[in-house]
Amino acid sequence: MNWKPAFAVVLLGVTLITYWGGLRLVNKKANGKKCLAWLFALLAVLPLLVFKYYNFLNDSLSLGLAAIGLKFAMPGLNWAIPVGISFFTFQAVGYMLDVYQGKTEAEKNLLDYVLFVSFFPQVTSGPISTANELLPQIKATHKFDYEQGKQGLKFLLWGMFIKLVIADRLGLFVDTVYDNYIHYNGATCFVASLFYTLQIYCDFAGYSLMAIGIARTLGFNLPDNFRRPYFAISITDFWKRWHITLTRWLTQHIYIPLGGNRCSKARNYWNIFVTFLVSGIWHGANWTFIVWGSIHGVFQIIEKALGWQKYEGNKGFVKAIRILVTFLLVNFAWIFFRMPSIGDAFGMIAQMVTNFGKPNLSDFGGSALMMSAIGLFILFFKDVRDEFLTNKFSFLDRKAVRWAIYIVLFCMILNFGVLDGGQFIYVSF
Amino acid sequence: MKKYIVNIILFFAIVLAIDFVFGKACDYMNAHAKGGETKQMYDLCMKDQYDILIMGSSRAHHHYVPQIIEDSLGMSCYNAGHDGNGIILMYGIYQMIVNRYQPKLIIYDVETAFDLFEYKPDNNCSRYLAAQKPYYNQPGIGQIFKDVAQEEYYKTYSGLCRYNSVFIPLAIDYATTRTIDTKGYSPLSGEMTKEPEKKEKTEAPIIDQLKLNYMRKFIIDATEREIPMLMIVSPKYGTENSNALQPIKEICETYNVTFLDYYADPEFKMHKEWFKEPMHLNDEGAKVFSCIIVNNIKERKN
Repeated sequence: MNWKPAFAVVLLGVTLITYWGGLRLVNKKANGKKCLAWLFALLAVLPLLVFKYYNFLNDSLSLGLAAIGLKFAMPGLNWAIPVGISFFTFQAVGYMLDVYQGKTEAEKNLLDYVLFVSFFPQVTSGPISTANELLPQIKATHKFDYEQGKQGLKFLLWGMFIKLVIADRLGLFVDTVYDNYIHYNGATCFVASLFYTLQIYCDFAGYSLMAIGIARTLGFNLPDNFRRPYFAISITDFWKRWHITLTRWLTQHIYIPLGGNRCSKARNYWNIFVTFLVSGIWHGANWTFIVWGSIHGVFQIIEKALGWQKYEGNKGFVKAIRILVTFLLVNFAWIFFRMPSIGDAFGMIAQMVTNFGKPNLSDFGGSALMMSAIGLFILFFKDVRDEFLTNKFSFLDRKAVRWAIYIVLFCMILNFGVLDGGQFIYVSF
Repeated sequence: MKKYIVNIILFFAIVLAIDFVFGKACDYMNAHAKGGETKQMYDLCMKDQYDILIMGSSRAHHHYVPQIIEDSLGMSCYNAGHDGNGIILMYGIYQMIVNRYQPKLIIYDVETAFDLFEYKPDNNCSRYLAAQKPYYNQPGIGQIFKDVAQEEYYKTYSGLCRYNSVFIPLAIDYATTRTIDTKGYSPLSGEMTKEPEKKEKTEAPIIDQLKLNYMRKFIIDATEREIPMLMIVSPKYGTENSNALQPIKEICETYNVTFLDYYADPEFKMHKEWFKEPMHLNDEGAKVFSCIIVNNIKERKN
């Protein structure tokens, strides 16, 4: 990942291609429109393919050919990946496809469109906005709104808290175990996998909240990106709560154009699989991400085939079991997401299955464990309240109590947070 | 808008007040801890005096038994080794010590990752400042912070940041008298039972100029103060040589500091049972090694 100023040229290139594409698609007659849309989409996605996937494709091709006795390799590229390329490419291509599908008007004002694609709170790691959401706000005149500004600061504070106090703290243990999993027993590896599941949620949701919060202080409303995903009752439900804007993009531009669920069951299952395969590929240039995406696709196909994707009953016990099972399935899939290779992912799983033992958290340290536990308790309390007990604990809404909470959270960020340079996980996409 | 700005100012004013009080309270607890690592560190830096100091990373911390050195040489000895740390912390501790007294001998156990090369995966030297933060206002310590990262120096002005991540152990050390009197040494238990896997070398390590400069400063200052020094590389299982430490060896040669190389010592190669894992000796190995060092010191005295 790189922040070089020269990479602004990539952002500008994708912006101009999709801007021009949108204008051309409006005027085009129906029979040539599809070809033109494909052409512009391919051009816009080309920098992403080159920067992010060239080396992966080259290495995979070389390995594949070597397996059948052929020697071939293209020269490697030693280029850093422009930060946010996956996000701004999808935002720009999404706009152009919305114009193609008639969901939005083509934007004629270049400056407004440039701002839409490069809007600073979201350009590096989302949320991915649609043109209908953001462009009208860009064109509108904004007057200062106290409630909006206050809400923005609250989101910013909460995002920083879960990122610095929880995600980065857990990450210290996760990195230690995942990078040396053969030296830890299965129970420790399992605990590390649970920590990673929580770390990636707090990291990504934290970033999204900070982006939404900053935008809101400036008078812009960005879409929510997370809705307590680990309370999902199925994998299908999980994807309605996790990276909501990416799920929306994939649904509108991959799943529905393939036919969605308005086709045979077999075709529908295929559409689900392809959509999540694309999701896996989008997340990274490694077979582990492809396997991760495929796992989610397969889980959803099984759910749909068995009718398990929804639960409309009101039995708390059943719901709790479903939440737990979904959490464990998601936790399992995250192992592939985190590991550098499929072999390492299976190696870690093998440790959990064959060498369980007792968890050893000595490498984490007692005080780090305590700080994480306090942070996780606060997160759990807030998420449970927001999900299940919305009208309870109303004393927390009193002004003095709210101020005390804000001050305590900020002080905890300064005292418990990892302040010496943790990294956002999703910034590498 | 006015109400918004006033509320933000009020918020930060309250946080600043809490920060100030918190910082003062933690400074007091740090100076009056009853036990634990807090008291050990404070006594080492601000109160106690020792003839022989052992300094370095976890390899110093776990490889040198002060009691053996004390009993053999008849001089007080303390092991100031710190896990996960090297010259940047050790220089700070050294500064605080020489501001009060002059030790008779410093034994520095050199380790490539913390004393010479950029630490992988992220070369973030801020990690070496954590133990020094309570001593930010001691002579010479501020400069270390500025050299590592200017923002780290500014963070020391905040009480909450100064005691970031350490408030819980600080509170425990203030309230309880848990102390293990091994004079800073931390014995490791367990033995290596199988040969370690040979790791393929990836990229060549890059010298961290900040660490090298601090090592040079350390050696020069000790030489000018006429404090005898021994730079030692303790054994590492399965290694072939200590060529990577050549830059430090050259500095030692320039300033006539003795460099003892036990990195690939053949005797230790034959005793896997003296190692907990390739990087660290266990308690038995540490005792054997300490005796070797003591004999070496005695020979040099004669």
